[in-house]
Amino acid sequence: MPQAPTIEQETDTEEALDTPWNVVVHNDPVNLMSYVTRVFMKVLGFPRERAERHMREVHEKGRSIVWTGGRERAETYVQQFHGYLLLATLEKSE
Amino acid sequence: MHITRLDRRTLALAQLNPVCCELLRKIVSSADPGEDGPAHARLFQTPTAGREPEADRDWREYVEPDLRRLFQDALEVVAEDLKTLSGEGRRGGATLCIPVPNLEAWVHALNQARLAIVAREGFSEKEMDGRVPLEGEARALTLFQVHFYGFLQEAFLRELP
Repeated sequence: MPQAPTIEQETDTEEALDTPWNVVVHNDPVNLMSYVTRVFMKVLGFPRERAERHMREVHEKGRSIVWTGGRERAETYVQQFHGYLLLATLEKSE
Repeated sequence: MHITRLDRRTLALAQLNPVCCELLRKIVSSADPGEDGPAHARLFQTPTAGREPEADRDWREYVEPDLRRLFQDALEVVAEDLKTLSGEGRRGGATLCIPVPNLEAWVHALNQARLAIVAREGFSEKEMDGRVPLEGEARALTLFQVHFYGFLQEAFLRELP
């Protein structure tokens, strides 16, 4: 008969779920700036000005954190970005 | 080559010379990432870039098939529209009419092709910017193909709402 998880393990799981995650978009010299801006507007609902600001950050600094929150939603955003062929990863927020 | 709106629902690429026609016909094959290699790696990324091998494995198993279908759907729209390419060999060049609702698929297909080509050929940023000379005519023509697709992608993006 399998043992029920200990309280300590449940707490670890809860903490992992509560830990905020960053959705990070990375620079790719092939992707057009206009395309990246449009994808930010479509996926994250950013107004144009904010989308362009993040696009410039990706272009100039190599990456931009475009969203922070729960892991599950972060994965959904990363999957959508991959669907648009943007380079995107998720990482634990500091 | 001219890009014009024929009406609310149709965009026309007119006066296409044979080189442009050939490059248009190569969009679908150029976008093919294959089963492995640099083009496949670029088109099918993992969410943690190796930091969480198990999560990346799950991604490949459960997410990659959906992405593959998404990419294939866009290419099928392009392939179907290309069947209407007409007038090749005509003095004024060929014409391709694209339904405006299909432009989104064209944008994705062109992007896919550009990324796959650059990954396969290993073009550097300097080569793409023209800051270093290219070795060989074939390589130069392939880079021209990338830039031609980029030109079309920008033009189509301007037509999207």
